[in-house]
Amino acid sequence: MGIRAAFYIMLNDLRLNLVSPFATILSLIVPINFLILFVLFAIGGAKVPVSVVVSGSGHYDAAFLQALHNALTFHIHRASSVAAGQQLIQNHKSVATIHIANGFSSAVAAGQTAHVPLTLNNLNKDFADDVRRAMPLAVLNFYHSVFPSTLPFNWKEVDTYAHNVTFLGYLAVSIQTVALLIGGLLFGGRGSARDWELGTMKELMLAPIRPWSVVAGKLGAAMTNGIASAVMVLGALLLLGLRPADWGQFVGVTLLTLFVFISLGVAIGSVAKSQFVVTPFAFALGLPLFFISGAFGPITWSTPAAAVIARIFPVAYANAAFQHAVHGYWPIDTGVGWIWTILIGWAVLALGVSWLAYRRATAKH
Amino acid sequence: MQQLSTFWAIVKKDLATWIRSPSTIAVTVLPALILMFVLILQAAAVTGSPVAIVNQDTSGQAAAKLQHIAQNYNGFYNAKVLSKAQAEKEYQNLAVAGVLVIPKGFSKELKGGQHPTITWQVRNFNNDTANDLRRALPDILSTFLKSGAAGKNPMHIQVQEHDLHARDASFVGFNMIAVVVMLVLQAGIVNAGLAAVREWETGSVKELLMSPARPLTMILGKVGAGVIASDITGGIALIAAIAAGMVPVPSFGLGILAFVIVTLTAIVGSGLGVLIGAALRATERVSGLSISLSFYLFFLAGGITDIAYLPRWLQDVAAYIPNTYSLDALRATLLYNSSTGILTDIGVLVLAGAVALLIGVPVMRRGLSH
Repeated sequence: MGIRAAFYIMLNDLRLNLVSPFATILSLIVPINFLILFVLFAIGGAKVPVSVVVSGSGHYDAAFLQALHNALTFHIHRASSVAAGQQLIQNHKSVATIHIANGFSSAVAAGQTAHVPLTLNNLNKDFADDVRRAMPLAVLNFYHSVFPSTLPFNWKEVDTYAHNVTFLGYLAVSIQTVALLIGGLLFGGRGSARDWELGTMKELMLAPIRPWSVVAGKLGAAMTNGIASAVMVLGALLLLGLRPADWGQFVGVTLLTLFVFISLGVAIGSVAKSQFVVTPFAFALGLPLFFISGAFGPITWSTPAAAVIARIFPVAYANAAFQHAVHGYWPIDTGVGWIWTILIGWAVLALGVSWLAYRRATAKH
Repeated sequence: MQQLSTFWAIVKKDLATWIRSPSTIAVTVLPALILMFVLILQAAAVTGSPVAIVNQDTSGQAAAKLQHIAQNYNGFYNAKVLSKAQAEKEYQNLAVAGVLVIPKGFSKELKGGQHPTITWQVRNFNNDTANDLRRALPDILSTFLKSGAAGKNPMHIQVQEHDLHARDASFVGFNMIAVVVMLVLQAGIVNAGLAAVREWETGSVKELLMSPARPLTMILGKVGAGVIASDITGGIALIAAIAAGMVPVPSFGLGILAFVIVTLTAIVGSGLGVLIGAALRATERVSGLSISLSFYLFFLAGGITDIAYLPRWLQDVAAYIPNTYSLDALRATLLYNSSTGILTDIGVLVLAGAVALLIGVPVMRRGLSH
């Protein structure tokens, strides 16, 4: 009886989605919207746009330009003159102009001081420091390539992983987690809040069914929508060139994560009883949690306060599980067993809150 | 004169409704406020990651100098000097992102011209964090060479930096301006949108139509309420940022300019809000779409970065997004103490506001007449 009731509640919710296509389409595309928006952010944040003016034609001019290319930082535009470089800065096409002036090669060859003028649009300290730190790297690389014996020491970088994951590749996985979070909160929250808004919750309460059937029905409908949305997000990830290292694990983590986030959404919708509140709440929770839950690197590399907050919510664990499924490593210091326990614990807690909200409302009536 | 008092009555009524509706205020301010909180929370770790330094040449002077430079390097969030075993443990536990090892006998080998090798262990989860670490070591080594601790500096290239702004704006302040612009735009879209839609949902649109007020006055009243609500929310956020020291105190003239820019942004947002409200006529739809739209506009205008960092095609798109100009103008006035290019920004915002109203007002007017 309970399962049958849950099934019909789920069916009814899915039908209601069909009769209000605008809201349904909006909820379906919000996760993929988030993915697109943050990918735009990731594309932008990867390299610093600078213009380089090479006035001379000596051997070392070309070698220094190559060193700038190899400085892991710059997206280089060639400019014909310093004025043209400044114009690019004015037009927001570049943030710095590096001038390899006439006489650079001869000065270097003669062991004399060679000046490299750098005009920097120091928009903020973080952006400016990226350029300031890249210049010594270029200079050191230059000397390492053209005068290796003059440097009194060597240095060796030992990478932990043989393969370098791109910034976009890493961030896209984090974005997928937050896209599922926002989608899950919207699907779960709006579905459960709708009955309160329409007043049909009273009918459900009067029906001879158990509270858990209502919660399970809402969860089932939201999971159906959530899976549809997750498939769209996965399609976008594949288009970005991402391939999960372990497909089985990836599908499992997606389903579990959706279940957790949708359970949270059902709980929020049941407590708030208003779709109007659910929508901003989903965004207000999603965006900050994205930033503090290991979107760019492990939470342990962040500030202690941010790490403590991140550890409370399930997003950091879901994100770590996704990174493992896609890239094959765990960017978190929590054991695997604990990660699953915390995720399932959150789902159980959220569903318990939904059940309680329904029970309390029933008691009032 | 009568239309003016009608306009003012509608503004007052919509503002009173806004103030008495906590959920509307939450919709307006919550996403941006939480984003602000996160930016503040993470600001300290933006410059770099935590690292460990292992100095195996404990008695060498050059090694001590290198250790000192690395320890005080401003590109690390935190640099701890540890033993090899401790550093390895911290590295395995993800407490540090990199381990710098100064080998045993470093100072002696350096003095003897034997080219000792410094090891830099990097947790390369992704290129972004790894490249930050990869940039750090050459920067440290350059400082070390310049210090003279390794003998005569063999590098003769000197970078002459000329900054366009007298001082670097803080990372938090820079992003705070972006968040304030988003807040103002979102407040305008949501409040004007909901104010418009509310009349249809509560049925009060009939009473409005039966009143002697002109439709244009009613619509402008709603836009006015949206602008005031946006100015209040944006103003509070800006004052809080200034009070917290994240944004410098502007001069009186630049402060007024900033207020004008915020208001023009609010007009654009409110015009869009009225348009969305009149077109969708349901709170649930308006709230969903307006929040998504604000986020889109936020990111398309560069978001928490600058449009220079965006790909070329996206820069072309950003040129048509009004808040790109709000961001540019507000950062110039509030962060860089400058009014360069501000006339262009104001001109574009006036145009965008006029376009938003020219489209939004007739759509709502048509809705009222039906």
